[in-house]
Amino acid sequence: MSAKGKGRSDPQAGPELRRQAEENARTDEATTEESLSPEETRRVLHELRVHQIELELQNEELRRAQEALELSRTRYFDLYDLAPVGYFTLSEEGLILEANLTAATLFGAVKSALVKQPLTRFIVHEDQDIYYRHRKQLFETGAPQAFELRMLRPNAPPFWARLETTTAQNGGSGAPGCRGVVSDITERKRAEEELRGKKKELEHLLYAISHDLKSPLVTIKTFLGYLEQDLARSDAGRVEKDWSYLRAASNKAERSLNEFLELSRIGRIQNSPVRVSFLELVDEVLSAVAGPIAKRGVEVNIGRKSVLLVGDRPLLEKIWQNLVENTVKFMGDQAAPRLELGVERRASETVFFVRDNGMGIDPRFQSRVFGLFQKADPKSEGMGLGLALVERIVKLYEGTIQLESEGLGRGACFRFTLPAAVENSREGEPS
Amino acid sequence: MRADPTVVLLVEDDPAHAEIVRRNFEGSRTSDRLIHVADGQAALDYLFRQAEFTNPEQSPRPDLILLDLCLPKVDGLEVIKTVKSDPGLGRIPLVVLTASASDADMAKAYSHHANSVLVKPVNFSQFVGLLETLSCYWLAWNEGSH
Repeated sequence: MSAKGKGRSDPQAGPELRRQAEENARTDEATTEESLSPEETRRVLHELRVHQIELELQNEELRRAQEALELSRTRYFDLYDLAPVGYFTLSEEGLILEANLTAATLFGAVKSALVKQPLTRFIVHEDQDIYYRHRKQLFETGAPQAFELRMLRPNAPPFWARLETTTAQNGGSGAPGCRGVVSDITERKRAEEELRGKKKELEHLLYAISHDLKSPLVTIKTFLGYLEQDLARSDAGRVEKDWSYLRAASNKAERSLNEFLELSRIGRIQNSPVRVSFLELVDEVLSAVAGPIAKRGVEVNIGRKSVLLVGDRPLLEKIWQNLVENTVKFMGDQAAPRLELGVERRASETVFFVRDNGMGIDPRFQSRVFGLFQKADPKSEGMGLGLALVERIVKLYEGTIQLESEGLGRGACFRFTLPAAVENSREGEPS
Repeated sequence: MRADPTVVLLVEDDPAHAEIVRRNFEGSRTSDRLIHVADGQAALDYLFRQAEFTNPEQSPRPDLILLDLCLPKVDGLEVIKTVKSDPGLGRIPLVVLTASASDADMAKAYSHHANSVLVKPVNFSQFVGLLETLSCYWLAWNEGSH
């Protein structure tokens, strides 16, 4: 307590000041009291009262000013620091002079630690040029700049940021600098990326539609020409051939149209979701494709385990229907074709599988099987939309699908998940 | 005109379109032999004498390759790239014959050094005419394909 009374800001200074004032007053009174006439004493007393009131008024004013200051400081904090965008002020050299709390949070640092740091410290190396280019433009032209780049924060992946900058006179010195706004646009960038993917897929689909409808049209028009010639020549053998090509082409066009319609229906689930067990669903699918199964003499085994599924039933059925049809189609020359359907727990996931001992698929082509219009066998029917359709339905239920095959003649196994359709993995299990 | 028989390799997955090309070459004197394969992998196997085409007697070098772009297994663009980057096969004229091609695919076909890209017309006489001109140009008039 040795510093007591020395420092002006000492909170203990109040009583000490009071004591000193009283001391001074006493000596003052001692020297003046006897020399004052009663008239003078009254006058002095009046003076003192007026002075006291004056002081009180002054004090009141100070208190109000203090309150106003407090209020504007709170407002400043609210408007500047808590603004929903990051604000910062940079020196001409690009050092951060001031930044608000939002900017500090965005850069993953405390406010005070940002001061005097170059802004480039928070910019991804590859994107630094973007920043330098716009900074140069800003100081050369004075025109406000807006740009997007990737920024860094500790212990987190880089984030996409949008920066808007204007020139500014910094503080009282009037030194040139700039003011900037920064906001996190990672989510927007992700959505843009997704949109680009969808647009590309749509373009691909549109092109495929035009190709797959034009192709049978070329056949029809050309064979109509041949037919005309062959009829004129009365070449019965050729006429019969021409007819068969015409029939096949018109069937192909019809099938293409139907497949496209089916594909376009996916993505907008039309039937209200119902609860159905995996075993019941598979049972129904197998009776629908019983014809081809019996024709090829395929032995079908279904696992005993089941799960409950909730979703658009016809759409879910399409998954197994397409996979089973695909399997039966590609049994190759297998003398004892076998097909196995089931569901199992793998790690924490419910995984469905459709396994066969058919012709399998060359590992080189495995990545292409889910693509649109990718046919493994040029002689097979359809446009190769079956597996693309399956993949779309699986994606719709937030799942993934893989094809496993050790190669030609080694059989194949489709494994897939349907997280958004599997109700509760423990329900529906046989007790 | 030539002593050697002229061989054309047709890579086409649509049997009807293959038949159209076959009928046209049948009637013309420009080609003696049309070999048809139905997918990209078979085309590469033929050209590189792999798999079922190991016997050189069975797989004479073509004087012209007619190639569709939409092909199963290995697509047409991949076939062009592989063939055109092979010093021996690269000099064989390769003509893309497609029902329709996107601008990007056409650009890619040329950048992989396809000699020509043709779109199949939806018109009998035009298609027949195109095939006649095509075989005349590449097999009779064009020098350097041998």
